[in-house]
Amino acid sequence: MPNSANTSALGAFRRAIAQRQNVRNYGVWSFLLLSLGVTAWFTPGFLSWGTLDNTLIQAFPVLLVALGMTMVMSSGGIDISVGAIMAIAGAVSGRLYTSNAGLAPSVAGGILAGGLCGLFNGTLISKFKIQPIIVTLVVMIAGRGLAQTILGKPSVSFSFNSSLNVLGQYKIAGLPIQIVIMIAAVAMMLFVVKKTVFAKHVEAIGDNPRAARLVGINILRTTACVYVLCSILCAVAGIMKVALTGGVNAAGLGKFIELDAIAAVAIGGTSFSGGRARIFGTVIGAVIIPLVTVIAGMNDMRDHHAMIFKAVIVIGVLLVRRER
Amino acid sequence: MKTDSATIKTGVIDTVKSQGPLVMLVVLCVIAGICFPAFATSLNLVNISRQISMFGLLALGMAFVILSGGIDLSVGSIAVVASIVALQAGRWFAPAAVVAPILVGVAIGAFNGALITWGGIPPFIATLAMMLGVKGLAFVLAGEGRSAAAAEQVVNVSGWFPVIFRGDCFGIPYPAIILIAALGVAVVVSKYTSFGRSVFAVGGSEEAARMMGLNVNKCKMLVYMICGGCAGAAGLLLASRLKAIDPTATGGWELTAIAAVVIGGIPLTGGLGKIGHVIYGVLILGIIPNLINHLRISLPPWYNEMITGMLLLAVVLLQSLIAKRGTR
Repeated sequence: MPNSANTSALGAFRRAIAQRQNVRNYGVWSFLLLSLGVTAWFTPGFLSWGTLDNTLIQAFPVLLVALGMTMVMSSGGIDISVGAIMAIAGAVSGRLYTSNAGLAPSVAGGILAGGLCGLFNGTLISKFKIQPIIVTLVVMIAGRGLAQTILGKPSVSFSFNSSLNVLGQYKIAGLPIQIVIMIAAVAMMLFVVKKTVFAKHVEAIGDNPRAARLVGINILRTTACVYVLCSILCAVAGIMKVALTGGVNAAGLGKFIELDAIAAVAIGGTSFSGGRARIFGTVIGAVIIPLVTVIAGMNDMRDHHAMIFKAVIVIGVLLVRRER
Repeated sequence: MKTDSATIKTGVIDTVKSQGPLVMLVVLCVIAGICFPAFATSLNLVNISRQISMFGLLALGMAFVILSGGIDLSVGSIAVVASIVALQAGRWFAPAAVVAPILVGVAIGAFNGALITWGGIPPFIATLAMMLGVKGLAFVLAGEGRSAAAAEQVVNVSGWFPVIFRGDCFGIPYPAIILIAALGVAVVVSKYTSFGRSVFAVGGSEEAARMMGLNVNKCKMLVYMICGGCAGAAGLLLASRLKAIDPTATGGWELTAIAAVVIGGIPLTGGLGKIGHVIYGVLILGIIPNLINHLRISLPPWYNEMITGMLLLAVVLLQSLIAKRGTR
């Protein structure tokens, strides 16, 4: 008799926990939908293709960086050097391009430089056991200086009809190239997370690094791969931003994007202490963050009001979803 | 005799290990003094001490937070809001210009602490969001202007207000005196009060500290309030220096403060280190840009960032090697 009472109590407890989790998940999405609906209602001309286009173009760098950040956070780490890596990749591409290396080698060089930064991060974190935040802080501080050194001056611009600038304006089947890259990157990351062992290993490291090592996962290689993947996505974002704007501003390129990317991952629901990578959530987060800026702009509000809104949204989402 | 020299040798190595930041600082100063005659002049030293006073205060508050196992990325934003509050409050009631910024700092710090303790948000994320939000608040409080450049405005302040930053007592600038006093208080609090010891316990292991019966939440709240208060005091110095409202004045300060704490020998894992050593990190990071100025060759300004980054990397690598040897 006490036994059955016990199990039913346990069942009720389990149901309560499940309900709580539902409240957590649906709470976040309804909070976001509601706030979006309200703002859309009060924003003149919100429901238009122009808004969509504008938001997606602005979301492009944030989304790419946030996809990489999702994997990094899934492994229990963090990468605050993403903006600096964008600047390094952009500077390398710009330097190669201005010294007449041609379009393809410039882009490849920038991506390679980004990958090397990721390798540096990953090696120091996994081999030397230094905390991710400190390693990437070093790259964040030194990297921006490095980017300006590579470029040789604070900024460089290209002529309007140069091939790099044409690349940034290129359209595939009527879609801007940024949107095509975005779709491809999301598809790739969904495939990686859903179908590969690599993502399971990353998740295992994020959940419990010691157990992961005992199970026989190569922590060194997996961690390095995660940071290289993140950095390559940052490099693509940086180079495409350079191509779109037709110039490199090594001091400003990608500045503060780590905030937007981390906020996007937070809204998306990937835990900061490692674990499951939620790609779809990150995509939604990466669209919402620039959308806040776009809506604020359309309502003739100032940028700093958008900053406060972003902070309120991030804190609100995390308070609703807290794991207690 | 042999054993004597051996003990001396290990003694020297131990000193270098435990006093690493101090050794680095002394080496840096000796090199600077030999290479640049202008370095050791009192004018230059007074200038350095004025310049480091603000982020020295930030680093002291940050040291408490990092010792407790947390981090506070919002200190730069708090400092700039505090500086604006000081100038705005000073228009209305002069003494408020001194009290208000510190109170504002403590209040924002309390909000950070509440988000982290009761909200259960990781410190890194909570203070990152606050960094953004508080900076936005700074622009709102600054009032006029859509862009940063337009928002900068000179404020008429009472005659005594700039003296806080500019003035000196027997040749020692007031900001340096404030920093030294704050350092003294911080060392005493961390060594001789139960709160100070509980910060170390919480940073070492929150779980263990809770089981020992320490009020972990209260300790964390206090830590973030102290950090906010220090940032507020730094904001007061900033206001007194600028005499103008500039919401972008403190960009990147939080990183410098964290770097100073780490170079001072407090690892980000918390629970270890000495508050007093933070001042070495502050001095090292303050002297480097000064040395670059003395080089007088056309070194572009961004080299400062690179050198700071490399230095931080070297210190962190050393710490990791020492920690590895310690566990063996």
